[in-house]
Amino acid sequence: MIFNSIHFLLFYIVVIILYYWLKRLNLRIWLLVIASCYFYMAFVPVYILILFFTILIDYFAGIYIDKSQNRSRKFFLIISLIANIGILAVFKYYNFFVDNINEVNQMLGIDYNLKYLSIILPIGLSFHTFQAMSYTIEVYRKNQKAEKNLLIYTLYVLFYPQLVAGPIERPQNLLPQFHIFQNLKYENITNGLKLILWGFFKKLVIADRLAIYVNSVYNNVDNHNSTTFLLATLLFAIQIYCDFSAYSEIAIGTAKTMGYNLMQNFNRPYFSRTISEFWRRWHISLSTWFKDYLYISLGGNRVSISRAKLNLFIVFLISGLWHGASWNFVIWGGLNGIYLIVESFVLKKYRINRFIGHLTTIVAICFSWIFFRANSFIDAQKIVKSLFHFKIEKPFIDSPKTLIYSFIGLLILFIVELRQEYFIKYRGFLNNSHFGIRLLGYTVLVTIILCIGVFDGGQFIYFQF
Amino acid sequence: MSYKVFFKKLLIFSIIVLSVDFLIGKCLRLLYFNETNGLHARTTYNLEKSREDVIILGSSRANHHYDSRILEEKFHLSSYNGGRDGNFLLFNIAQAKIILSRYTPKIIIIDLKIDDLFWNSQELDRLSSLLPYYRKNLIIKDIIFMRGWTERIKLLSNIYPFNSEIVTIAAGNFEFNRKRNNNNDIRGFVPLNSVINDTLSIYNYELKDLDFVKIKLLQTLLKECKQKKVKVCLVTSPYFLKIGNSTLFENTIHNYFGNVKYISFLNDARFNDRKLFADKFHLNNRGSSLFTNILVDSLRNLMINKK
Repeated sequence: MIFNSIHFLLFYIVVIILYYWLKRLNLRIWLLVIASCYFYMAFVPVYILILFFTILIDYFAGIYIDKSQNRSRKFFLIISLIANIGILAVFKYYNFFVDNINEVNQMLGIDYNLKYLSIILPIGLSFHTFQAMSYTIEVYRKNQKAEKNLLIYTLYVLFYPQLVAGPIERPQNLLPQFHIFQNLKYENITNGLKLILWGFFKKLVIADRLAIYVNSVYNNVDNHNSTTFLLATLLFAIQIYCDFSAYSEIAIGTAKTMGYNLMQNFNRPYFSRTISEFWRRWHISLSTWFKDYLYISLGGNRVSISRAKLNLFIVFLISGLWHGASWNFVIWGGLNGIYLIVESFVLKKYRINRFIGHLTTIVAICFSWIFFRANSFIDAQKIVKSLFHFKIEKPFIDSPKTLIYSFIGLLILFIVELRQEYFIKYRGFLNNSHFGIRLLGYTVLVTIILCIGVFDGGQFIYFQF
Repeated sequence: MSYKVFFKKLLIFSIIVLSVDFLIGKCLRLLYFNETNGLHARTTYNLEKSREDVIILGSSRANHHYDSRILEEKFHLSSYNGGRDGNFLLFNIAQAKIILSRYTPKIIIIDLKIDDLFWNSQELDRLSSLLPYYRKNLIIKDIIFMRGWTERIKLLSNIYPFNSEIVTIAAGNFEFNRKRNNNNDIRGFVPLNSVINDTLSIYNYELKDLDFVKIKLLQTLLKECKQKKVKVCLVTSPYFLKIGNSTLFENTIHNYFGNVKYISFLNDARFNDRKLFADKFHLNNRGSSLFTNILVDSLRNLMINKK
């Protein structure tokens, strides 16, 4: 079930009515677990078994880690990590591994090919696996007591708003909230619904509209010129931001209406002046996950400068691989790692002008998006080559409608984010103290969605991860 | 804040949204059906006003290939080209159902692309072109609802049938656009003037997932035409492609629609000249003229043989 569907809207309305109708905490938890199972099973039903498998392993691992001392703690943590990473490895990386082995065999003239697994990647696997791992690691680090209630732990992993594309929550934030009976609060409902509405606007009006243009260019790289690639890459940068941040906002909003607070996942990243600032504002839950559980585990900043930089690079390579089993994602991650290393040296020596900072950040990030979006490494190479031989030519415009509608959405997005970034003292339409102005804001957004939103659009980009 | 205040505000919001949806939807409907030229206007004419003897249905290939003037001159029958860019067989079947519910043309020509019988999810998306006509023509609801059960809910909105059409509707109501379009549209037929700069390439036809729902719908339509004594001809107009395994496609047509006249121009040597094509899939003005003239002769036989 995807958020941008009537199916989800009906599901959400039923769940929220039942949720507030139930007056006992355990019944509500049951409701959310069942609803989350239904939500997940709308994709590939049988894959719920994978989730139950990891839930059981991590639940017991958590309890045993909590109970045990010294070495045994590590043992149970390793079991939990192996189970989670093992599933990730089989379902997500096995075919990538086979592909590379076969390629090497071919190069060496060895007439032996490993067989591919014909399986579909379980939706959102990387997200819920990372969330499950954060639980056992936090219990191991004694930052979190093991959850004794299996049902609540199950909900921690399965909680439908953030099950398939995050935000990747930490147990310290989410688990305690499930132990509290959430009363119906007007602020929670309205703030949550506003986020959901804004998320739908970003997804349906901007992301899915831009996708029409971006897909037509990136899916036919042989037929386009450098100006078109430049335009398509810029538009993809906006598309992926709107797509993913929309998902996060709908997830946060959905949880909020039930009284649960999820972590912020995006903070207007394209207003960043440096690459490091960009990564503090983009997919915050994943960036902090890698920082807390990988970068710090590798030694963090407490090692030599060169080792710290190497750690940073490794983290970004793995972050790239987390996104997808393809060399394109590894290159994308690696590029961002290199950017951060270079930037740290440059910023030590020079003071960068604000405008130059914004510009270089956007150019560098957009360049890396080419590898993220291109269908293959060969396609990415063609686009990069074309951009390095840039010529101003007439860009491909399949339908001016696409760009006109996108522009309307982008203009609204830009005004809203500009206000949030620089003019926070002025209240926006949706947060105005006058009900009439808020009402006008809601009505305008709904009308724009109905008029120019893309209703036949596809899934969220991050579902594939 | 109390529940009462919350639900009161929610009610006010719902009423306003419903009113805005109603008003904007009505305006868009008015403007949509007020268009006199262009894509929307041609479809509206074909579905709601046409009374012609010969109706041509199909995609952009039909729209650019069948010269209504030649059909009229040679047949002495009025004709209208109802082909529409980016719309395929399901759309054509729905069109035919609406037309047949209104009057009985003498001949219906359906242009079939070589991939028309395959399952194609895009085809369902493109059925959105029919949404403005849904309320007046419930006869096509089965085809519309193939887009999914949620379509029933979406269609409660008055704006939704015109989703993403605002720019086209606005342009269709501007005078300059009317003048511009006047030159292009010849009883639905829109000729192309460019010439392809390419050589004949090979396309190997492969039998993919046949869409049996679509096949069944077409069979039902053909049966209805037979009952109403409407002559139907299925045609595959020329491509600037050498189609490998073309007989596989032609045999599939004969297998499922054997009782209907089918004319194939696949690999027809008369259309190997690039000067007849605007691109690999579309004949230009010159090509459409040649094609329609040849087709008329074949259709004459149809009328004589199957009278």
